[in-house]
Amino acid sequence: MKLRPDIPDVLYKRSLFSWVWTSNLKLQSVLLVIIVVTVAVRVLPLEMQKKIINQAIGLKRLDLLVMYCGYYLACVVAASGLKLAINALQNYIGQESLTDLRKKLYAHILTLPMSFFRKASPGMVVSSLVAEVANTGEFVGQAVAVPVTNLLTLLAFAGYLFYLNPLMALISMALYPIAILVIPALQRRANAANKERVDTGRKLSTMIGETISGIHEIHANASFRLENKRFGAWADKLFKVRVVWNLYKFAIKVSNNFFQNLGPFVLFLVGGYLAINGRFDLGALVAFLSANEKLYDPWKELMDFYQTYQDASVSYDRIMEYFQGDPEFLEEPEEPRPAVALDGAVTARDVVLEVPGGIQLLKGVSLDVNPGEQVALVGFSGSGKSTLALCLCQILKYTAGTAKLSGLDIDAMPKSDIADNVGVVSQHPFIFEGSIKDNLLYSINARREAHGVTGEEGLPSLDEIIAVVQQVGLFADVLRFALNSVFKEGKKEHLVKKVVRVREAYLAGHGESLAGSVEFFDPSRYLYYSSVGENLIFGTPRQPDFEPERLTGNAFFIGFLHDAGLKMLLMQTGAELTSRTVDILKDVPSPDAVFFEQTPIMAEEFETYRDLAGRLGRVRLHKLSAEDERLLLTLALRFTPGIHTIVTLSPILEGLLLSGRAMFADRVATDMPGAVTFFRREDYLYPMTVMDNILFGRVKTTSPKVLDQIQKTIVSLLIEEDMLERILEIGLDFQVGTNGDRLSGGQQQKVAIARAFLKEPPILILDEATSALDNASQTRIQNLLENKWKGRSTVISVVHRLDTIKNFDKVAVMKAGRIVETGSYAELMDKKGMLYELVHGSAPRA
Amino acid sequence: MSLSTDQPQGLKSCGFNECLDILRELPVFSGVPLDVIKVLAYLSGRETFDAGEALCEQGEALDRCFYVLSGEVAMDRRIGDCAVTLPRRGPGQFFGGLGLLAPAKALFSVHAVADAECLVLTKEKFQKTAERFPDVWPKILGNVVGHVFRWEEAFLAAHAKECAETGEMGLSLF
Repeated sequence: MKLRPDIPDVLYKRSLFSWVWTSNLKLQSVLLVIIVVTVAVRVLPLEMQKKIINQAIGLKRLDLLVMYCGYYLACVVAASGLKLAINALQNYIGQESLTDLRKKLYAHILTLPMSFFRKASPGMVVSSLVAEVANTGEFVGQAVAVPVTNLLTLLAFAGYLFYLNPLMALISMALYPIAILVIPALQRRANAANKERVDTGRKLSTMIGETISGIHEIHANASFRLENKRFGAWADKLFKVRVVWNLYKFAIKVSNNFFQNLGPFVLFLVGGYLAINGRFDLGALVAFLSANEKLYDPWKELMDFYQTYQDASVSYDRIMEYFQGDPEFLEEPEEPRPAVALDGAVTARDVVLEVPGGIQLLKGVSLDVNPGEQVALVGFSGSGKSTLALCLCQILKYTAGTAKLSGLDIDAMPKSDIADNVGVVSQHPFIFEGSIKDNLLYSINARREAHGVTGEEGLPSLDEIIAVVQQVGLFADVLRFALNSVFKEGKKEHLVKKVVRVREAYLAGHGESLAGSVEFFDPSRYLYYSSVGENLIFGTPRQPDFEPERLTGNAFFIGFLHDAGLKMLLMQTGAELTSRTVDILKDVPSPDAVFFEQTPIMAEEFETYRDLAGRLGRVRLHKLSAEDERLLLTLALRFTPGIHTIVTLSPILEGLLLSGRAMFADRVATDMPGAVTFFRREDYLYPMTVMDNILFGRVKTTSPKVLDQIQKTIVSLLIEEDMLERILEIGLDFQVGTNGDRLSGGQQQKVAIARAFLKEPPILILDEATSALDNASQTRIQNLLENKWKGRSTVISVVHRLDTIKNFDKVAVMKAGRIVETGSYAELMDKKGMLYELVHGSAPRA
Repeated sequence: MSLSTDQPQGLKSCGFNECLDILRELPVFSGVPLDVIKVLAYLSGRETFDAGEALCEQGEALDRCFYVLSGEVAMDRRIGDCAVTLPRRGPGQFFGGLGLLAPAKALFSVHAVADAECLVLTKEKFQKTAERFPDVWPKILGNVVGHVFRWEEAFLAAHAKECAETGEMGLSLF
């Protein structure tokens, strides 16, 4: 006989119980064995109780008393130890199954068709995977242990009671059926009352919300009494509902206690009578009372387990229903085989894409593209050009007709074959958290992982990466990231020397022309584009507690601030920065890095400073705690007036800071020589970025033009010093932030284009891939397609700018889900058809 | 050691409050709650442009808006070889607001004719803010539509005859 039921392959068809079968069955068996032992160990103390009273105490035998008490103790210790073991195993099995479910569900979600993600909210997917599945894990962990333990315990206790006295056993158990009838009835009423409580609560909430939104009207009409009356009516209703609900809850509790306490009453009455008549011994009565009391625990645990089961099955069913859906395409070939290499030919015959509601987005599209040919898809908005492109790379599934890549039916191809041969750049590409390099290699690494390739195999060289970065116009961005990085002292020493040489060459060649855009590190001037801390220290720390972020914990430095008359002024500045920033950003939902560029508060510190701002409103500055003082000074020392314009640097503070710089230098020289090396033109400035080091100053502007100009002059010097490649490598390690939010839209698109180019696929599908780029970058990509990729890769490009399509081999014009004309640009323009209309239309609608 | 005397202009006054006042009075942000304007003012920056320097170029993406604080700018549009130049504008001139709302290419080039300082808000920062306060969209859209109708009404009144001759429908029927 087959014990294990059939478990469907499709995740969402699996039952909750199937996870018990696929859990760690070995551990479940061990658990069962432990449970059986535990139950025995739980019953033994009852027998010991009887023997202690009847034999040891009754016969006044001390030796028996010691022996039975010893057994009793051993049983109690063993029962506790075993209970711990059961819980540990139960927990392990549950968490293991939960992880298994999470992984399978995640893998399933990833393969669901695009139509699912159009409807699904990311929040629901997140909460399903993170929170809701937890119930299932808990259930699987308990599924064997709890019912078996408690049923066996119940049976064992009941059996023991029958063994002691069948009549009394029957009497004491007669109460359970009554409890089974009464308590669920009360529970039903409590549930109904609870529902009414929730409904009334919601109505009350709606009313409050309405009042707040309409507060203008209430004040204008002075309708306070009227509104209070309205609110009062609902509040009273809630009062009544809550009283009733609580009464039912208490009734359930009281009933439970009543039935539990009624047991001993019956036992005393009947047992006492029997004992007086000599038909029942005292030891047995004590054991009976104990067993009867203990019956309640497994009973309660079973009830709790039932609740866990209910909760788990509700959330499990909801999750599985939500994620119901089958992948539209095979993920990988059924039999493992090496990747196929396509020649790049694309054909489509009468391709139709119909969405629910009978709407056809593509109404029978036919297209032939030869290997290496470049096709531009153009058309009015909503004409289906993106839809067609997405059907050709399996992101969407066409519903009728045929489409083939190198003669292979796209419908039947596994996704891995498509990914091996097609590079896709979408209009809004997605950039993942990690470095630029991670993102550039994303497509390649996905294929390496799929084919089990490890080590360096299949990875492009640094030169190849840099070449592509240059081709797509990301070079300047990567260089900027590199120039904005800070070297740790003792690292990259060979580069450091070269940077100092570049600094001198730069000053000689361009120093004067950039004087307006750069604030040089001049010891006699206050630097508005450097922080207050940098202005004071004006050097490279040689001891860790002189590092910028550790200054507030440095007693020497704090003492100096005090003596220089700066401490209170800086705390005042810190307080202003805190209040201003919190006032501006307090209501911004989930602010990202961009919102913290113009304040010295960092994103992860915002909550701390929000709390501090609250305290600042109540407590005077000089009465703040030492920790709050530290927080304020931290901000003040980061304050950079040229960037953090929400607060002004007062001339008094500026003067004090400037004289403080000189005072600090004197103090260090006398009290802590060597703690700081003051900035000198011939040294590398470790706390500063590479760019600051080259300029021996800081750029005052964020204007891209000025930055480009400076960068161009730097590049040639970097090449002279043969360090460009190393610098770019540093730039490639730039962390792009969650969702790539530290990159602009244009940079993200360039990364996505480079990512597809690095893969060198025989087919490239570009869906408005250059829409976020400036004219020069668009032209650069266009030239690249025309020169580098011509004849090498088939290119199907959805184009919105018609001035870029002249050199495509073929232009396909789409309108209302159909290709209305195809031909070379010149042919179609001569024909004066749709393309002509598009190009010369009164409004650019492409 | 002496006090610095060449403190940048923007550092002398509290840039934020001034910026807040300017943005509050811009028609495109009319009706936008003060809390959101505060965020936009905070995210705006000052940029200086030397005489002759371009603020934006015709045909390039219009991805920031400008408010001229000081100096003078000139706007021109090149049609083939011919350039149409608009009168010079000075402090108080605002342009580029529409570019914040959706991808657009500048139809004009704007150059500084005298050293100019501008308040600049980039599209990226505006969009990030608007994403977080979606309630501002209907207000801004209302302002834009209102402006289009007012502008067209004035235009039609001034050029009624030419419009009738060319059959141009204008924007308000879009």
